[in-house]
Amino acid sequence: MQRRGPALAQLCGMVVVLLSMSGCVGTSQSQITDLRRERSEPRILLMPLDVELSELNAGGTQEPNAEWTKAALQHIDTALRGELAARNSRLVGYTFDPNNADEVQLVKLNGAVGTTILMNQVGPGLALPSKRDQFDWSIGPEVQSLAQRTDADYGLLLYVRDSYTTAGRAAVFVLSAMFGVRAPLGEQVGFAMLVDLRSGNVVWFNRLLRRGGDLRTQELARETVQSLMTGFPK
Amino acid sequence: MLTRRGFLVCSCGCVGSLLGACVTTGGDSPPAPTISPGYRPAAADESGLWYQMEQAEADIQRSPFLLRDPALNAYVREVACRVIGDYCPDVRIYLLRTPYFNASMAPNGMMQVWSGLLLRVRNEAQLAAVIGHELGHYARQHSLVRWRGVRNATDFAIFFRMGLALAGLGIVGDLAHLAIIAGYFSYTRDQEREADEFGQAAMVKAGFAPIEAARVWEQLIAETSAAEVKPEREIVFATHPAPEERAETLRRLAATHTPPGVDALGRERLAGALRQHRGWLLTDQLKLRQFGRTIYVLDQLIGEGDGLGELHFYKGEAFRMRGESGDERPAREAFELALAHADAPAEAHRSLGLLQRKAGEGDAAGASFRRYLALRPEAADRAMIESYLTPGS
Repeated sequence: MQRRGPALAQLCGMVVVLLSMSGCVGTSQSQITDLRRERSEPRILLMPLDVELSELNAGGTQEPNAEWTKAALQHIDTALRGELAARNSRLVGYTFDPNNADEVQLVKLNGAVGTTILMNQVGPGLALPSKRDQFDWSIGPEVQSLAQRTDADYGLLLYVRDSYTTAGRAAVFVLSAMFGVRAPLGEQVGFAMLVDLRSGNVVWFNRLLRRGGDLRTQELARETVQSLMTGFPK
Repeated sequence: MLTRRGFLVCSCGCVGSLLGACVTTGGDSPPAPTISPGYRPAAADESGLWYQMEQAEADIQRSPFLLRDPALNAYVREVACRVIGDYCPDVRIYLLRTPYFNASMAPNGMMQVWSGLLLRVRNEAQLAAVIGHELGHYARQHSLVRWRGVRNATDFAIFFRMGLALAGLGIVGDLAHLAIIAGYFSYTRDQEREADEFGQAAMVKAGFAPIEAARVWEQLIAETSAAEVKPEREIVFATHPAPEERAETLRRLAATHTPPGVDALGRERLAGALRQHRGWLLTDQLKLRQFGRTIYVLDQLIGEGDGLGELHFYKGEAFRMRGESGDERPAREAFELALAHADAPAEAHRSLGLLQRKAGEGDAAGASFRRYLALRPEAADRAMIESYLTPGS
């Protein structure tokens, strides 16, 4: 089964290349500096988290770890609620409405746009010509239906792929260094994206590409979530 | 079926399997299950695979391509449970609207059956053969075995290659790399052979005629040879054995392993369950514009003699849509044959009318169009058809 498209597999590869070229950190882009505050606490709809934790084996295969992933989902949710509360915003949980096929597609479209923006940002060769210097992405005004059903002002999407180096991979790293080759180690790749549910515009986007970070404990997960939320509108 | 995850792993620039071990038994007894009914994964790697598949399954449950018709689902599940027996509570079957011949099994018991398969199986025994094959992948934990093979081989290969590079034999390492990838594909072919054997044994146990497992492949071979564009056959990098080989093996096994009285076909039951769905199944098939294949499938169904008005109409549509020189005559004959049966769709009049109009037979065309509009007063293309009836058009 293939849950994420081949484009994403390509993206993983690109990110690996990019990480080995530079020690990237989070970089956010924004259309707004402040959230719309027609009510004291803007309601922010958290789209289904797209998170997977895996082990990076010696040969480079990534083995998904269910236990870590399930724990990380909890940790992220908790940390995010704290982050938003500290910013005087309220997190609204999302559950799929199985009878609403259009909404399912709308949520998936958010994910597709998010990964496209990430791909567009990570390497100059990957940027779409029309988007090179512009940050004007939009899901479209259809997202208003999401706002109506959930009474939310914004939609927040989080995507993280977090891999951890096994002992075997560490050995490969050391050995390949003898040939002057830097074998990629475990890394965090992800983004956070905020969509205005009135216009459908992507108003803020922050990416995370780095070695390090850990989502396996609540304490450490808070740091990753803080990094993802860097530059979030006030 | 190969889970595409395996492909992803490989296409990420990793290598395939070094496992050369042949997994087919080739003996008298079919391969035994490696897990019991009610199994849950224990190891971390297997839990990880299941977790990923659970996410994919949640996606499929929300898919617009999922066929939700309760009667059809109940019917397929009933046939499936006869074959998969005690594992039935562990297997979820998803019928998907995809007009190709395929079914697949995920390691967590999520089975997909595509609509193109429903169009092509000719009796319950053939459906049972495919389901039994997929159960074989589940009960023998093929995804897990393959994943472990890939992981161990890539782990081995990277050290092996570095060792060769250290010894100044880098080129040997590159060749070994290629051999490993080819080895991976050979390994998946062995798993398919194993699942074929497993599935055929399971269908025998359920009382279905095992020869039908071979016929599934024979029909596919015949359909492929009727195609305008022949698929190229990969040898080294194919995930599945050649259909010819599969048909031959299954035929041989059926000849030696069929106990007396195991001959259930369930042709009428299958036809009854699919009768009301065949129209859209054929419409989807037509849209592929694989006319040679479609005409072959239709001829087979016509041979069964059930629902001839509808079948001849679709056959006519295949010729009409292909529209090559010489296609008009068989198209017209098919529409005329269709209209001789009470179950011909009203659209047969319209299609016949279009051909008559093209041939300059204005009066006949007008009569056909009027019959169509009389039968389908709410037709979406009413205005278009009426414009054909206007004098001078």
